[in-house]
Amino acid sequence: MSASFLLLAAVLTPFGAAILAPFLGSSLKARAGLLLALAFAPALALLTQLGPALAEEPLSATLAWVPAIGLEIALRADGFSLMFALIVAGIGFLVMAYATAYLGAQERHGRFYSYLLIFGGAMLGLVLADNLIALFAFWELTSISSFLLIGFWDSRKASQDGAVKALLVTAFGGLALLVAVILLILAGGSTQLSLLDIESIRQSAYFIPAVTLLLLAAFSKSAQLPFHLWLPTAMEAPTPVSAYLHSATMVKAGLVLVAKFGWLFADTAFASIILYVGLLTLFWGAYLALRQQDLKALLAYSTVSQLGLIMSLYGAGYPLAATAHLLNQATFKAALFMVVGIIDHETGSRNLSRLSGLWRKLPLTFALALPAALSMAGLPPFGGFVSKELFYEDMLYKGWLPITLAVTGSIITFAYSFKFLSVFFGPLRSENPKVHEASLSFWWPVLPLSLAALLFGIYPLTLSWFTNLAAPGLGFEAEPLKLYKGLNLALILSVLTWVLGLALYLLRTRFIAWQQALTPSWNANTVFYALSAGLERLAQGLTKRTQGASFATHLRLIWLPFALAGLAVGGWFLPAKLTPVSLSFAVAALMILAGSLGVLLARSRLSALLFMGLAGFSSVLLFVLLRAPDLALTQLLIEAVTVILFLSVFRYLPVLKRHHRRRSVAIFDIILSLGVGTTVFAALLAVQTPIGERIKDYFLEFSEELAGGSNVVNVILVDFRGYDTMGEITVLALVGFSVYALLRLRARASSGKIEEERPDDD
Amino acid sequence: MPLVLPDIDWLTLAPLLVLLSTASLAALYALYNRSSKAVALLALLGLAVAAIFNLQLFVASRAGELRSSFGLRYLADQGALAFNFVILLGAALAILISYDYLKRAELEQPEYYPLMLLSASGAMVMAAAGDLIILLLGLEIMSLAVYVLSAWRQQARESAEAGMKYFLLGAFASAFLIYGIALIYGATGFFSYPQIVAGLLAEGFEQIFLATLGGIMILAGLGFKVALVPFHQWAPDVYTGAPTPVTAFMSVVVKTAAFAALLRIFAFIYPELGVLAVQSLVVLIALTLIVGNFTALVQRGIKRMLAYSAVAHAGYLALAVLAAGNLGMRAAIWYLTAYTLMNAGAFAVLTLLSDRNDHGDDLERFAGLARSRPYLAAAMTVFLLSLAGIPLLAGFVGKILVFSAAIEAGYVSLTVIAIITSVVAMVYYLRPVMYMYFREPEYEPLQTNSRSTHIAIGIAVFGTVLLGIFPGWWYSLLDLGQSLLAGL
Repeated sequence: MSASFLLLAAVLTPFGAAILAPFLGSSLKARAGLLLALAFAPALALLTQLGPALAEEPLSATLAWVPAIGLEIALRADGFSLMFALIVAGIGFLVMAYATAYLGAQERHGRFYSYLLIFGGAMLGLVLADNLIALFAFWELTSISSFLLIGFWDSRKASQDGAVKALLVTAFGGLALLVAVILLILAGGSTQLSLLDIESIRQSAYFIPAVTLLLLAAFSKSAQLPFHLWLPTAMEAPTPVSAYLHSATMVKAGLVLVAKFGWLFADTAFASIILYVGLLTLFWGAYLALRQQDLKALLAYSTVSQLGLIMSLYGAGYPLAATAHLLNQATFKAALFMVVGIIDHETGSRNLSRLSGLWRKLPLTFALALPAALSMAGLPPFGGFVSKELFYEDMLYKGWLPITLAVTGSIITFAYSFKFLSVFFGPLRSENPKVHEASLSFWWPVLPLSLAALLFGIYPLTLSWFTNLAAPGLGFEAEPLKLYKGLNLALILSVLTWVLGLALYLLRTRFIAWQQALTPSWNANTVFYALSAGLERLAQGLTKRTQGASFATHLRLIWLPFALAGLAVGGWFLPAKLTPVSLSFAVAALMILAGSLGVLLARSRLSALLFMGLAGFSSVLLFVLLRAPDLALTQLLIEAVTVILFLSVFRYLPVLKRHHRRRSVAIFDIILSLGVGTTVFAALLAVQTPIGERIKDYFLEFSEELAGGSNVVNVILVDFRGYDTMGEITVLALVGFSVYALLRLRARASSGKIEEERPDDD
Repeated sequence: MPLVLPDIDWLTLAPLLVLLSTASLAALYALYNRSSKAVALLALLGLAVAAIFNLQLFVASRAGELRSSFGLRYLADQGALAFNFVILLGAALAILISYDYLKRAELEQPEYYPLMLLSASGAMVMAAAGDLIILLLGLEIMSLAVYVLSAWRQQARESAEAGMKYFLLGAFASAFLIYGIALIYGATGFFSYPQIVAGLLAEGFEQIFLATLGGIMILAGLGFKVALVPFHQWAPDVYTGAPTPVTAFMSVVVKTAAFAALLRIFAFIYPELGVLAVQSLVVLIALTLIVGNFTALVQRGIKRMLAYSAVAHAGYLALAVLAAGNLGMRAAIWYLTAYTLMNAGAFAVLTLLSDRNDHGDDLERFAGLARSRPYLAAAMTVFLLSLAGIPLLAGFVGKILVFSAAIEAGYVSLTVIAIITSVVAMVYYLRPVMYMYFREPEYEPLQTNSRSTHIAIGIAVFGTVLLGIFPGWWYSLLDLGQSLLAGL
């Protein structure tokens, strides 16, 4: 009980703290971060649950949400989830502490911490979620909090652009995830990730669409080609955010997804797709990273590249190597981002071409950056070397193309890692001449991360211990990691990487010039902008076509399907059911027809009215011929009232205008009206089923006996169907009331009171 | 000769009768006393009393008791009663928004409130109708009042135009509906749903084409009311031209009633009609989702954007209609509850930001609102994010329910269209939010305040958030062993 409570608390406490943050932020300012960072304590306390997690009896907890459709917040801390939750909480804690020094006094601290805590809670929820819908909800919540954090400096145009781009790409992925999740639930028979039936998913017709959408979601969140475009522009966010969301945690959500669903696409074509998308991203990210002059942009592209590396490993089914590198990347990249924050803060610039020799002024920062950068380069004795060796070993199994891509990518990685370090070497250059070392509160949060980069290398059992936490969750055999495993092909390739990487670093100016010459005129960004412009154009075109059309066009459009239906089946009812018609009927019908045509062709309103009268009185004649005097009388009254009403409002109406229409339109309209007429006719014929026969006798027989009236029609109206009449009267009363209200409004509007005030509006 | 008198269960009619008599009373009172405060309060009281009766019925029906009047033609089953709650809520919110608005816009006429009550009672009749004639009666009662309400701003051209357009196209819609009813009657000889179904299933039934055509025409008629493309043409103009509280009323109450009727017809009659009938709804939904969302994208005025968003939401709701069994029914009721809160809320905020002629709702006017009117901006953000379907708000759960119901019913590709268009929707819902929070103000915002509107906004925010975080209680209230729709 208390353990499950801890699990729920781990996810919910950050959300609770997010509510408190605005209040603490306004009183404590930046220092609120230290207090609020404690919100990650329950998540860190999950360390106590390692035993059950490793024994494959993971801790789980459920909070009902909409139980009726299986919507609940079900959490499950298996080894992998637990390990990742520790990363999220640990780095979250450090980042909050770092932000206290990073944020200036004028910033809106409350809001910043609040967003950051919402993100932390959502991310913890994401990795610990066992319910698929909840997983999706947390996934979207991370996108939104990322959006808010990227756009935190809301007056900057670039922040807004970056925020929107990140949101669009990741929200697109989120919705793909939603569909995938729904399909998986349908195919797998459960909303619980841990209870999904793998075999029936694989057999089901939903398998391919579900997995495709799942991968779209994972690729867009983890910035894999071609969705990598959002990550570099997301670097407009404050640096703590970049360190936390856009390198250590959120961008790894896609990896988490691929890792957790690894069993789903193992041994299918999807595994190769992930492998190659990852490797291409590794290469392309590194290639772009090398040419960046902005330190943060360099790290951004480097993150893209490293995510590709891990993605390829998870896809190819090497979770051990993948998880080891994931841990390494989380630590060294977060450290490097924080270092960039310090450099930016102390020197006022992040531009490589304006900075050098900083180690003299920032020795401590340099000391913190060095292990992290060398770990990124993959040099021993740092953590990055250990996992990169594993990566090479695994890629060697996959054939020549994967290993070539892997080595090429790593060579460039080596080069840009040294390019990053070059800010510390050479003659001292800085925007701000009075550079001094960062304060304690600024650098201490970097220390554990840098130490980890070193420790993971010189004492690989630490990395091993962390990595193997994931073993039961991801289903791989725990094995110890080693720094030196003897001379093997992977080591030779590593040496080759260092040599060629160093050469590339030394020749970088020439290489970058060559890169610039090769730059194509389009890239993922231009495609994105073209797409969004295209969307806008499409929307405008659609609006132009559907909005503001004339009333006549509306009517044409609406009647068209109706007419088509009639034209299609007009003949259906015709032959069998027509009875001979007497001459008098024919004459009356022709008169109605003539009247209707006359209304259409009339040149003045008065003549139109006369023609309408002709049609109306002809139908009266028709009723008389049918021996329905009461109907005839009613119709006569209506006709008379209509004519009188029309005559009385004539003087208020403007002159009748005839709208000219093109011949083609006119022909179309004629065909349309013929079609509509046919449909109505067909419908009329069809209603000639002998229903009248069934009920007629009843009314005739019983109207006298039961209702005491000899006028059957009257009896039907007021007695047999009395309730219907009451309903009709209600409607009629309502019409009367509405007209009354309108007249009162009219009277008020024309009383001049409002007219007088109108000039004020102009 | 056996004479079967129609059964009347007065309790089933009580909510309706309360509204009708309150409306009459209010109208009479308005003849002698022109104070609209008393009339508005009376209207609210009527809604509350109707809600109490409705609650009593709801409790009874949850106990498994089916009540109805006129031989199953006026039903008080779970579905109808749940819809009644939504209708009463929507009407109450609309009245709260109206009160100060009408004063400000100098449109104060006590007749306004009885008309709204009458319209709401028509909506309740539609939700309860188990017979096509009753459905038609309800539709007319509901629509006639709204025609007048949408032309309430007599001195403004666009309002008069809105009323006229709505009336003309509404008359067309009624004509479609009546033709459809006539065709179904012609084919089967019956008006009430169970009898129609029996007729359709009878041995030797040959008029399936006719009945299908009738079904499609009923769909067209109701499609007008809920604004499904291509029957949506009136919606943007009417929604923009009508006074904003009336727009709120139209977009929630009228839509709820028409969907209630559509759901019932779809659940009973459509399965027995030709496949063409269902397919035509599928086409309409696809068109609605695409046209509604894309045209909303380019609107600069918030009110017009909300009008198109209302069209798009009709598409999402119609997805639930496709799955018209219990699941779709529950999803639709849930969605409409959420929709009523968030949409009426958004319009309520709009009334406080636009001038008394409903102008000044351009996107630029929203710039920097977070600083000048923080609470209003926060409320609007809640509504817009909920409309966009962001998690932890009501709209998100509604979407999930509707989508899963549609997928369950086998409409996977249509659901995918719905999800893709939701991304487009995200753009136009978030744009005002960005303007409010991320831009410097360009205009001095209006400092309009109104206690009653604030109450409405408060209720809507509270409901949107509550339903978003704890969606289960309302959903489980709609959950019991028996069917939501009597006889299904």
